[in-house]
Amino acid sequence: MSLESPESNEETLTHNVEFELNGSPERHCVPTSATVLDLLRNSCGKQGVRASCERSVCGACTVLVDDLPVAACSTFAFDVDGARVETVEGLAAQDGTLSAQQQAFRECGGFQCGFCTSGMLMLTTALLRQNPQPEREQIREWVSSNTCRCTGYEMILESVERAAELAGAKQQDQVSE
Amino acid sequence: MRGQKLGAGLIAQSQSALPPFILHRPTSLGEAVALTRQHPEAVIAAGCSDLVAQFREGLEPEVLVSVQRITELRAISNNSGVLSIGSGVSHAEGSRSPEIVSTVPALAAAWGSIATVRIRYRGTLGGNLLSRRYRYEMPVILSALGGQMQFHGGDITALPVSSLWERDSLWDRSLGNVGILTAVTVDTASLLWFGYERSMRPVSTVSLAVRKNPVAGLTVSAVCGSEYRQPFVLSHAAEATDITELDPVSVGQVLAAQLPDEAGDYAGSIDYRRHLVGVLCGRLLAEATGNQRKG
Amino acid sequence: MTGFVNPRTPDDEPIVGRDRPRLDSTMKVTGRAVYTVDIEKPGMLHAKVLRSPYAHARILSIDASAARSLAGVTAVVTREEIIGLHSYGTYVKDQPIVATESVRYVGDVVAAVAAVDERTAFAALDLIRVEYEQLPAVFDVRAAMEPSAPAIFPDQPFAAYPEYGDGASGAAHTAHNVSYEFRYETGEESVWADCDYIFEDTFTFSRMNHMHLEPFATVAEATANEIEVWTSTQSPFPMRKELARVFGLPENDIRVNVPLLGGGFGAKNGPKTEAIAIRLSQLSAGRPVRYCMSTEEVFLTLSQHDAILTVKSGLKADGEFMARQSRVLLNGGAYADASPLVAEKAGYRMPGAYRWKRIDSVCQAVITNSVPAGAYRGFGATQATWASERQVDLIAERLGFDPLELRLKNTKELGEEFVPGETPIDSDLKHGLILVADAIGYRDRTRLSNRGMGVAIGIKDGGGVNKPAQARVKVTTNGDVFLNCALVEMGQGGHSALCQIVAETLGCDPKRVRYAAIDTDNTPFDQGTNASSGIAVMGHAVRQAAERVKCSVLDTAAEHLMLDRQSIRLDDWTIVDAEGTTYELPPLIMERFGGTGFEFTADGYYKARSASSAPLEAPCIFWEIGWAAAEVEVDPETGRVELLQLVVSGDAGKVVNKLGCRGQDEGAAVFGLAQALFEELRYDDGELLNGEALLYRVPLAEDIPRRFSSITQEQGHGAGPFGTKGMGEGGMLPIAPAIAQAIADATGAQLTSLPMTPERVYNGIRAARVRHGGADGNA
Repeated sequence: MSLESPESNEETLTHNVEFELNGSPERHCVPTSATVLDLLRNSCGKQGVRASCERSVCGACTVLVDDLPVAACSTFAFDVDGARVETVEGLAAQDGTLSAQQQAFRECGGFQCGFCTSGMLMLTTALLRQNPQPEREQIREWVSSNTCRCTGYEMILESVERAAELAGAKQQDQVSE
Repeated sequence: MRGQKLGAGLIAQSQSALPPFILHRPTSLGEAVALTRQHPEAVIAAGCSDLVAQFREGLEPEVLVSVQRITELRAISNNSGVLSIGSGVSHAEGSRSPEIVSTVPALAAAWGSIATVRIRYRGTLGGNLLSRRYRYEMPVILSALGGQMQFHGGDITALPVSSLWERDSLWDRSLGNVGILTAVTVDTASLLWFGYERSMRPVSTVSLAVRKNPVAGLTVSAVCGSEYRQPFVLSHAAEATDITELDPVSVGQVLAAQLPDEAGDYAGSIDYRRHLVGVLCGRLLAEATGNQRKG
Repeated sequence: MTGFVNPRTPDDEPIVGRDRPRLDSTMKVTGRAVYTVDIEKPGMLHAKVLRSPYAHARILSIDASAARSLAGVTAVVTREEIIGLHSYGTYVKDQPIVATESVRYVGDVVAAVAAVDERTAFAALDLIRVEYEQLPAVFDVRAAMEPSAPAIFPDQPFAAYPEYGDGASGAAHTAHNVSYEFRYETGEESVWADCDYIFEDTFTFSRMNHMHLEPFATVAEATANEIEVWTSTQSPFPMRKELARVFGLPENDIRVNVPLLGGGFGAKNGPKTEAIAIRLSQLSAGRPVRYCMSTEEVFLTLSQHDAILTVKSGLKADGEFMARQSRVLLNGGAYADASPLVAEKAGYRMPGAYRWKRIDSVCQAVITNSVPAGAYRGFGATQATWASERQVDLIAERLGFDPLELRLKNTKELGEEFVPGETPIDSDLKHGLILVADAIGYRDRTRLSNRGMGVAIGIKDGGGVNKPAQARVKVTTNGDVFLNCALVEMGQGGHSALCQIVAETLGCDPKRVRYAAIDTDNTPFDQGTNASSGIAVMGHAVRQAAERVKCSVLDTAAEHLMLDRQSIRLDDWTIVDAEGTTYELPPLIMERFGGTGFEFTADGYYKARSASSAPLEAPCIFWEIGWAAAEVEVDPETGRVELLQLVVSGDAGKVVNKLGCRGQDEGAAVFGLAQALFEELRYDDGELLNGEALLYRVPLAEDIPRRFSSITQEQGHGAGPFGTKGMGEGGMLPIAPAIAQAIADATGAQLTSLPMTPERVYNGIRAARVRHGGADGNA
C-alpha cells in the first residue's frame, strides 16, 4: 500500500489541481495549503470572488463546485481537483449579455456596495438549478446562507424571485424557438 | 485570532498564509488508519469549514489527511435497531437519508435545520462533532439520542457523544491512539420519541429523547445547548410505562433544575436559562405525549 | 381624522433615470467592480500587526531585532519608528500609529511588519518580544469617571474643537477620563416650575460593530517625501489632511486614491490601515505595502458607542411637553476617534421631533479600555432616539395617553424651528407618523393577546456642518460626460444619483455620464462622504458644474451658429433652436476648436452659510427623518419576540433614484432591527467575546419580517437640488423604539435596554405583572 497520494508530493508540498472553471480547463500547481479562494483570485485572476469573513460565514466568496454553493475561503484547492467550478465571471454570455440572475439583481436593486453580490448571485444560480421556481420561503432559507449588510434583504429576495421569472421566460423563448 | 508565540499579543492569522503541509488523500479507511499511525500529529480534514477557523486560531498542521475520498465513511445503515451514520456524511446527505428519515424522522429534520444551505453541503457529521465548538448543534442533537462515536484504528472503539466535553478523555491524546471517527451509532430499538427545539437559538437549544428502559420505566434525556457553554445533559427516570403518562410541565422542570450554575452566561442568566429550558423541555414533551400546548 | 396637512408633492417632471437601475449595477453584478482589496502593485509587500493582549498595560520594552533580521522582512514599525510623527483623531489627536508608552485596549496595535508575503510577516511578528506591565483597566463609563479609576491618558492629548453658536458649547477633558463634552441649552429654567408632571428615566444603548463586508484596507507607496495610498475611506480629503499632519508633509506630496468601498456605515472615516501601511512603505524603500485587516481585526478597530442616557421630561397635565433635560454618557473606548462629534450630535438631538420650552442637554464621551468607538450610521441620533422615543412611550403609559396621540400632540409642525437659529423642520412629521401607523393598521386594529404595535419617529440634522463641496463636469467633443467629485461610493448609490443629476441638467442619458476615479490630486475638494450629505450638499455643486458646462456649450453654439443665446437649448448633445431646428454639436465643436476637438469643463461649489445664531455653527442642510411602525407577537413564556410587520419610511424630498432610496431606508431599518433584538458586541469584564463573524450575529434574510416594507415619501421640501433630501441614516433611528413599544403594547413589558433579548422581555413581562397587579390590588 502506498501512503503517497499520487497528486501530491511530499518534497515540494505542492499539488496539481486540474479543474473546469466557467467551462474552460485550468491546471495549476499550488501549495497544498492553498484555498479555492487563493486559487481563483490569485492563480486564475477571478477577482469577482470576494473575501470577507474568511471563515465560511458571510458567503461573499460563494462559488459553485459541481453545482453546489461552496465558500471558497474554506475549501482547499485540492478538493476541487476534477470538479466543475463556476464564478460570477462565468454568468454573463460571451457577448456580455447578462444572465437572468444578473439582470434581476440589476433591475430589482439586489445590491448596494456590491461586495456580497458575487456570492449572492452564485447562491441564486445554485438554487435555481435545483428548483427553477422556488417559493419565497425557500428563497429566504437560501439567501439566509449569505450576509448582506446593505440592502436589508427584501430587495435581494425580490431579485431572486425575478431571476426565476426571467430564467423561466428565457427557457420559454428557447422552447418556442 | 491567535496568540503570538512569545505571548506578546494577538495576531490575526489567515489561512492564506498557512504553510503548505504534507497532504494525504487516502481512499480507504485502512489506508487512513495507517497514515494516522505513521503521523500521529496529523490533522484529519473532511469538509474543512471549521478546520479553516482553527487555522485562524493558530492551528498549523504539518500533515493533513483528507478523508473526503473514503466512501466507507459516508455509509448510513440501520441494522437490528442500531442506526449507524458515517462520520463523513454531510448535513445535506444525512438530513435526506432514507434510512434516517424512515427510522428517526425528527433526527433528519433537526439535522436539516442546522447551519446554512452552503455549510450543509460541505459540513460533515464528524467535523461538527470533533470541532467541539459549543455552538455547533450535532453534539446537542446526538447526545440526547445517546449517540456513540465509533473509532477505528486506535485504542478506543466507542465513546458517547456526550463525552465530547469531558476532561481527560481522548481529546488530549494523539491521533495514533485515537484512530479515526468512523461513525455515530444510535440505538433506535428502545427509542420512543425524539425532538429538537432550536427556535431560541443561540440562547438555548434543547434536544430531548424518551426511551423505554430495559426492565421498566422510561428515561427522558434532554440536552441543553448554548453559545458560550458546553451542552449539558439532563436526565429523568420515570416510572411511567407509557409516554403519555409523563407530565410535560413537571418533567420539564425536573430536567431544567439539573442545569448547573455555570450554564448561565452572557446571553442568558442561569435563572432565565433554567426557566427557558424547563419551558422548552415541557413543550417537547407535550409534543411527545400528544398534548398540543394551548395557543 | 386628525388634522394633518397634506404634503406638497413635487409637481415637476421626474429626474432622468429615476425608475432605472443604478448606474453601477452592471459592474457589480458581473464582479468587475474594483475595491481597495483588489489593488495590486508590482513588488507589493504585505503588512501584518501584533496587537495588545492586555486592556491596559505599560510597555516596558520591545525587542524586534529577530523580526527585523528574518529573511523576507523589509520593515518593522514599533514606537521607535514613529518618533517625531504625530497622533491622529477627529478633534482630540490621541491615537498614535502604534502604541507608545502604553496599550489601552485588547487589540491596540503594538508593532507592524512588512514582508514579501503574509506568511513571512506572521513569522516575523512571532519573533517580537514585548514586556508589559499590566495596569488596572476600566470598561464601564460610570466607573471610568470615578476619580479612583486609572487615568487612561495621564497627559491630555492635543485637542481642537469648534466655536459653537447660541446655546451650545464644547470642551475637551472636562472630567476624569472624559475626552469631550458637549452642552446645549435653550429656554428658561423656570419652565420646570410650570410642569404638572416630571419623569426621569435611564436607558442603556448597546454597541454594535459596523461589519462592512470589505475590511479596512490600504495599499501605500511612500518615501520620506511623497505618499500615495489606495484606500478604503469615506473621506479622501480629510484623510489627506490628517496624513499630512501625521507625517509632517505638505498636502500636495500626498495623493489619496479611493476605489469603491465594500460598505462603510461610518467606520471608514479617519486613519485605520493607512498610517501603518505608509510607515512600513517608507521603511521599505518605497515599495508598495498592502495592509488589509481581517474581519477579526475590524472588530478590534472601531465600534458604535454604547451609552447610558438619563432623560428628565416635564409635561402639563394635558400631555403638552414642556421641558427636557438629558445627561448622556457615551462609551468612546480607548481613543477619541469621532467621539467628540458623536457626543455633539447625541446631545443636540435629544429633543427628538418634539416641541419643548426648555432644553438642557449634556453629553460626555468617556474614555475606557475598550475598542475605540466612532462614527456609526445614525451618529448619536440612534442613541438619542432610543432614549427620547422610549421615554415618550413610558410617559404615555403612566399618564394613560395613546402613544401615537401623545406624539401627534407634541410633534413639531412643518416649518417650525427645531431650536432657535436652526433650520425649520422640512418634512411634515405628523403625516409620516400617520402614514406608517396606517400602513400596519395601527389605528383600527383588533386587539389580540400577546400582539402589539408601536410607532416611532427619529430625527437628525442632516448634511453636516462646514461641508464645502466642489465638483467638476467635463464633456468631450462627442458629448461623453465625466463627473469629477469626491463623493465615495460605498453602496448608497451616490455615484449613480449624482450622474443622474448631471444627465438631467445636460439633457442626456445618464449612461453617458461616467463618474471619474477619485484621487485627491485631480478630484475637486470635498469634506467627506458622511452625514447623508451626498445629494443635498454635493448634489448642489454637481448641478452647478453641469449648469455651467451647459451654459458654456450654449454660449459657444450661439456664437458659432449666430443664434440668439436665449432661444436655444441643449438636448442630447444637440442644439435645438426656437424653431426646433437641430444642430449636431460634434461637427460644430471640431469646426470651432480644430481637429482634436475640445472638452467643455466647469466647476461647481456649494457650502451652506454659517451663522453664529445656529447652535452648531451653521443651520443644518435638511432634517433627515425616519418613521417606523412595528407589530410583534411575544411568547410570554420565553420572552421571544416575533416581528410580524415592520414599515419604515423616509422623506427623500424628491426621488433621484427609486431603488437607491428604497435600499437606503430598508438597509438602515435592518440595522435598527438587529440592534433592537439581538446584534451586540458582548463583553466579559472587558474581553470581547464575539469579535468574529460566526459569533457576532448580524441580521440574515430569515430575520426579516415577512411583512417588511418601506415607503419613500417625496414631500418636496428638501434643500437639495430639485427639492431632494439626504437618505441613509434616518431609517435606522425609529426602529428599536417602535419595536420596544410594540412589545410593551403586547405584554406590558417596558424595556429600557438594548438589545431586547428574550430574557429582558421575559423579565419585563414579569415586572409588568407585578406593576399592574399592584395597581389592581389598590383599586
